[in-house]
Amino acid sequence: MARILLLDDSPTQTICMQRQLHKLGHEVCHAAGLSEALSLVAAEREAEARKVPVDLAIVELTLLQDNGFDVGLSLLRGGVDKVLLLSGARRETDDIWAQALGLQGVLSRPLTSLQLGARIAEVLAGVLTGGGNDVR
Amino acid sequence: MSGEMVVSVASGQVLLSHGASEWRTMLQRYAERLEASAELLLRDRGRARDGNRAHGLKVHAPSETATGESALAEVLQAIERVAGLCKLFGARRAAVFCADLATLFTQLARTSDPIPADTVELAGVSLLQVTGFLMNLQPPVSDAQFDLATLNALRLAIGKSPLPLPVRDDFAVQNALSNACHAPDIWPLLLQRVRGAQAMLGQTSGTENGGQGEAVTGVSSNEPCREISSELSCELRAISSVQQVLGSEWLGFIDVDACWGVRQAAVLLLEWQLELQFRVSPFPSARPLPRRGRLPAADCLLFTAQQQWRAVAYQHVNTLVHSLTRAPLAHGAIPERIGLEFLALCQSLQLAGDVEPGLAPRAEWCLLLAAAVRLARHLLCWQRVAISMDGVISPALATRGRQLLLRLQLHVLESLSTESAGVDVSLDSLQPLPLWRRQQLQTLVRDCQHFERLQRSVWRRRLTAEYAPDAELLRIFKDELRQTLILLERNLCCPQSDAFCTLVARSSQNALVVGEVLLHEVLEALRQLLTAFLERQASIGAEELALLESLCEQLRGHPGESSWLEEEALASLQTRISRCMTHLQAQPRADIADVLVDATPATTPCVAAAMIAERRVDGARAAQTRVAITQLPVYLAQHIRALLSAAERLETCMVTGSATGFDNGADFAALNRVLIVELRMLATGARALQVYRVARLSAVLAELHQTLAVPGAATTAATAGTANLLLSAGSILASHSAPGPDLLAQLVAAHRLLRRGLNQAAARREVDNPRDIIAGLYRRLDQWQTPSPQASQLLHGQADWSPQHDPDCYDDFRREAEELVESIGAHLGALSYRIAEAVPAAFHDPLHQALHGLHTLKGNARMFACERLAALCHRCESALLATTSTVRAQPGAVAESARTVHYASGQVRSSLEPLINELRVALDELPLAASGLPALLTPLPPEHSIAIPAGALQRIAALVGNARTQIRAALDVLQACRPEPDAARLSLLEDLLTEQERCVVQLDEEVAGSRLVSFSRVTPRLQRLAGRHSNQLDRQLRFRVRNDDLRVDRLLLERLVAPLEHLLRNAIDHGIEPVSLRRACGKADSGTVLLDLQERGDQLVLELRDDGAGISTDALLACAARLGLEESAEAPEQRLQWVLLPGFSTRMQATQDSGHGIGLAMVNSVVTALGGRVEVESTLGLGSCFRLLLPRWDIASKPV
Repeated sequence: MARILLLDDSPTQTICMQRQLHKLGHEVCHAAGLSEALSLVAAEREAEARKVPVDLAIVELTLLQDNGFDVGLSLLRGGVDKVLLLSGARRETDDIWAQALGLQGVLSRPLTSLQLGARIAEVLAGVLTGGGNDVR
Repeated sequence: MSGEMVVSVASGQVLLSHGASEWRTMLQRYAERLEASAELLLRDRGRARDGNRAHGLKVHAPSETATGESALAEVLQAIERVAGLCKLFGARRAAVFCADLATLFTQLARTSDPIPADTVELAGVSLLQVTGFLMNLQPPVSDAQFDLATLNALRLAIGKSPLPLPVRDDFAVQNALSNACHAPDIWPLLLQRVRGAQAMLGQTSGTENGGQGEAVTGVSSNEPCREISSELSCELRAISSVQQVLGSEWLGFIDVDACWGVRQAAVLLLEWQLELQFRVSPFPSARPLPRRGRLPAADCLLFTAQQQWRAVAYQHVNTLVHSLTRAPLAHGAIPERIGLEFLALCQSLQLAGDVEPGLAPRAEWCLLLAAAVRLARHLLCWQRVAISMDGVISPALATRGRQLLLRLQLHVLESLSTESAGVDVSLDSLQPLPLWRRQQLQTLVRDCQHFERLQRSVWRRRLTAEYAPDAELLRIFKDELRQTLILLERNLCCPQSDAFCTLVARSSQNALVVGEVLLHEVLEALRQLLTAFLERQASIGAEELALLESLCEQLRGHPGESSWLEEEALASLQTRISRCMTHLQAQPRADIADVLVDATPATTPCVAAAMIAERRVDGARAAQTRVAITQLPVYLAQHIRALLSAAERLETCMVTGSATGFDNGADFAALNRVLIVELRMLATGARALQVYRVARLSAVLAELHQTLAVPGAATTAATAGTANLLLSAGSILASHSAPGPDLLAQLVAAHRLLRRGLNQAAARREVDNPRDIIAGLYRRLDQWQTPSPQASQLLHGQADWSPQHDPDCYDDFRREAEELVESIGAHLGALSYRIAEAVPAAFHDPLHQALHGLHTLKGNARMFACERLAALCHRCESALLATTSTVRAQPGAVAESARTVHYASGQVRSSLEPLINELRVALDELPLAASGLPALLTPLPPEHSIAIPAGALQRIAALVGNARTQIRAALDVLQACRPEPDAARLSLLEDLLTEQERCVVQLDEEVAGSRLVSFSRVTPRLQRLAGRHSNQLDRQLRFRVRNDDLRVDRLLLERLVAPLEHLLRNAIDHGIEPVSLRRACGKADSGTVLLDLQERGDQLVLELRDDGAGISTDALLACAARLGLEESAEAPEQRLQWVLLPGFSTRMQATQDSGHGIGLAMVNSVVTALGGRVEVESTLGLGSCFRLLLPRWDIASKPV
């Protein structure tokens, strides 16, 4: 399945997300901050000589040291193709802003594995989705 | 009888217009109810034989809690309604039967003697008879369907003579029915009638008050005893009967025989009107709620604080009920607002109860509201989770929660309406609630608690199933919690809202993962509170800090153990959170409490309470620093894409090898143009949203790009040739060198910072300070422009600017400077336009104005040691003089050559506009206050800025956008029309223009609306003045302000404060007599001063009335003679106007405050300058009245 980079600085959320993604059959690598994520991406690219180091990055919107929008943009520039944001308090402005920045959208927490799988599949298939976790 | 006719006709209209199907169901319902009662009666025959009627009814009453009386009352009510229905259908016999049956039941209810068993049986059978009749009822009703024998048996039983043979006449009602077939929808009709009744009520109370004058209405409170006129009571009955038939459950049904006082009638009509308005409005949710609408009839009810509070609260709850019942059932969602409104109501009640115990008389009330708040919060929290997890809300949550909430609301509504209908409910006269009511309430509250507990366990199971928290997860959770606690505690020392918010949000999500549902609820509430603080750019206060501290306390134990989180402690935390939330929300938006206008503390518990609350909150917050964070609105986000992609391209160019990225200058020029427009838009938007850091950076960047686009400004020695080139081709950049690598790098860095700032604002974090980058950009700008060593020197000393003078003066200076810069900009615009239009004679005026403004600004800036601003002003001045000198020298030549004209006007624009912009930016750089706080952290003080709600701004932006598109479209159509005008295109054009006009009108209204503020913001100030001044002069005084919720133009209000204060002082000083004198005149000890605000058409009328000594016209004559006025020509009323003349005073000796003959003249001149006038009325010995009549709307267009 897909290779997914998970960027979150909360261990509890990270482990939950990792489990869910594993259950869905995705390969997950985790980073707690932007620099770590970027070096991870670079290392992947070097080692595997792949065109696309990871298929998708899922980034927490409210990081303690940074904000998800900035991190997402940097990741896009760093070679990641698609970025989904993850927020515990999503609003409509978040979606609009994310799309204005060229990110793939915002997932709102808490979410079930089913929804997560559906959204990831959609994003990987190249469908830009608006908001919410609605399974379409 | 005529009354009955009215009733019938009205109900008949209802009947026909409402559709047969609904009628059937309604009748069925009544029938079923009656049948149940009948069966009950029959079954109880045995017991009734023993003579215990009440007991029999009680045992089998359908609801366990209802007593025998209430069951009987229910039956009676139903029978009465059925009687009404029968009358409507023209089933006269049935109607009579029902009336008789009702009499029988009333008799049954009254007698305490044992009732013969056969009577009870008769009653039961009769009921069944009615039921059968109703069940079989078909629209052409035949009276013959009714059994006359039963009827007569019944009549015998109640001691009436049997009916003769049926009279078959065509009942008048039937005619009315057939005539009313085309009646429109029933609700508007009914609403119309209610309004009519209100008008009637208004008239009656108006005529009786008229003699005593306006001021008295507020005082007399013995009115409710007065009865309403017979027509009105008839009308009331008619409306009530219609509503009875329609089955509007929560409207009060009136007892037809009762005597109605004016006040009860007013309350009733108010309730009806509110109810009907909701039914009538086509889009109930989108429509703004009728907040504090002043209805003619309600006016006379809104006397005392208690009544007002109840009326308003009633309105609120009514709204709540409707928003709940009208919310789309399909999703099961509960509207967010419900929770907030309940919260507000609950807090307001508590607050009111603290100050005036009589206002919140019942403990059950508080219990009820508290339960409602808890439930609403619970539901909203899980609703959010449910939507996020499934996309749908579970039906159990939706239905049951909705039901409970609705029941709570209805209870609140009911108690409100019964209590507000009662005359003067005070603590002594209050009867304790009947036992069954109390039990009912307790059951309801317990139900809510059970429901919450159940839902929590349901959620816990669901979450556990989803996340399967095992030992590892729990361990990680504990570790992280400990970490979070450390961070939280560290933050408590130097509070930073955004960090708190992030931490709390994270913990709340974590709690969800491990199934700590209650903790999640609490943390979620806290997160919302903190986010609200962030969005309002308010810093958290002491109370919130204490809250966080106790949260830490709670979390500190050992997670997972039973003793860890105590439910009660969490519940109390939740209560505190909601209290903070209400305080926060009560701050900008005056809520329930502020409808009260009385001045004396004894009668204004709510005002006092609100003030206490406000002071408490303010005091706690004052010391904290402010944070520049805000929520980015949707519209800004939508427009940002172009800017971002342009900046992106710029960056790519730099990465791929500086300027070579551009094939030619034109490519860069195009990009540049896009950037200028987008940056300017961003700057405006961000400024309006008070994201100052983003605004400033984008403004400076825009200017830089502008300079790049117009090299004429960069190289001051612009020749006519270049200017031509600029105008004709616009490809000046082809000859101009493309931006060098260092410039490009600088630009890219700035754009990056800008984007980062925007992201931070969007993610609700604090925005980085762009100070260094801005300084760099300025340095660049100054290099290009006229080298002015003085200015560039000062650039580096930015940090040294500090206002050294009196802080108050500094504020004035700053404000004036803003105004000056704006006016200079406007004058320059006019100047360049006039030059372009070749009206040489006309541009001297704007030129001089602009020069004058610049000079003033320069002088002021020097005085306050703002050297950079002063230097800039100087540069502007000389640039302006240089540009215009050629034009001024040879006005004739200018007119000759269009080319030169273009050049001159273009040069005014191109060389001065950047300078003016720079002025604006420099102004923004100035510290906002003299306190030494960094300018960036202090938003404008409220008097100097208008806070436009984000929603309004969004609407305005949308309207402007629409108007722009329409203009574009209209122009296109016009172009197409030009060769061959045809009718279709012209009509299209007309449509477009009409639409556009509508847009502009709306826009105008929006903008005007955002300028309006409530008058009540100056009320406290006036009240303080009145208190202080009357104390000084040892007068007893009641000062009252009426209608101060009127919204007034902000500027108008600002300028009116001084005149109003003077008039008030004047009234106390000259008007109100000392107590001894008042007693001698037979007046009450304390004088009354009333300030009344009214809107009359386009006019705003402020009336200050006192009941003091009045103005002696004879004294006026003497004074006029002293001043040498022509006294004989004036009538006495005219003479009163003299007091407005300068130097006119009847006092021989001036006091410290008044008597100089200046004040009233000042009032007059201010009001005249505002386009209004002052009217004076006075009766010697009875008081005087000053009336200010002012135009409401065009104030902003007048020069300051």
